[in-house]
Amino acid sequence: MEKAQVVIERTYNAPVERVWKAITDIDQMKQWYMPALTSFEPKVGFETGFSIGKAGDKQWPHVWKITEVVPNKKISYEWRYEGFPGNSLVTFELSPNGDSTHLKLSHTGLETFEGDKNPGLEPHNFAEGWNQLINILLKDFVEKTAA
Amino acid sequence: MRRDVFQAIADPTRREIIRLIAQKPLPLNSIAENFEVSRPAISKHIRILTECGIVMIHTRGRERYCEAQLQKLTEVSQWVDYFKTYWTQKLDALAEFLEKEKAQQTRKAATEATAQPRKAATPKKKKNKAYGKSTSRH
Repeated sequence: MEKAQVVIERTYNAPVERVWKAITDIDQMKQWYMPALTSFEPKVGFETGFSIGKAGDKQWPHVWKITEVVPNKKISYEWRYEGFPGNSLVTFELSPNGDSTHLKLSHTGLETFEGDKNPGLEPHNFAEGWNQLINILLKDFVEKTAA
Repeated sequence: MRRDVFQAIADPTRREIIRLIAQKPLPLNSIAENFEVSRPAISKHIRILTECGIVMIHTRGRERYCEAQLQKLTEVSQWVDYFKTYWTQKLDALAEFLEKEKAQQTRKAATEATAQPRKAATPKKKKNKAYGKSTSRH
């Protein structure tokens, strides 16, 4: 299967240094991003693991491994699930835009995960009509990946 | 040539074909009637869709019916859909976080600005103290 990825771009009303800190400092990351995080250092080769899942439900042990760090510009890390096939890659890229910061998030390699098992899979996600799925989600997805 | 789901949905005509037959199987002829392009062009798109495993063709009498195999589509879209929602929410949360942090820094800066003249022990001292009191009430 070919690439399956998510790419989202945003502009934040904050200087790059501040956005960089928000995406690499564990105390800040825990506030907006990943409260379950137990350790994080923006250094190539650094690996961290933590579990996510409601109490009593299946737990999803996440493993992140940092592959690239360019301070204030770019950080990439592998994102996989322990004991589960597949390995994806998350990349945050920052560029200054006056007093604001342009952020490009890409999450690639999603095709390497098994299609029928998904930590976010809940019945309501897929109860919606097929037309909506095909017209909106996939169209949008294809246009983004084609770009 | 390798065929997969991504190739199937990469073309707008093929997406429209999938949309048409998503609800119920349709004869090839009536699918073709929905498009301006030639019937052979539609046949080619349908052939690609069958090669990708998204469409199955059944022959009933003289008609060839196209049926969508949508399970194939969910397999790819589940993770993409999940992470698309996930990152959209997280990046919204990052915006809120940065705004909140900025507001805190602005308050901190304002407090420092009023605190500084106090150290200098200038005649403005009283006035600044009063200002500091008024802000602390908020």
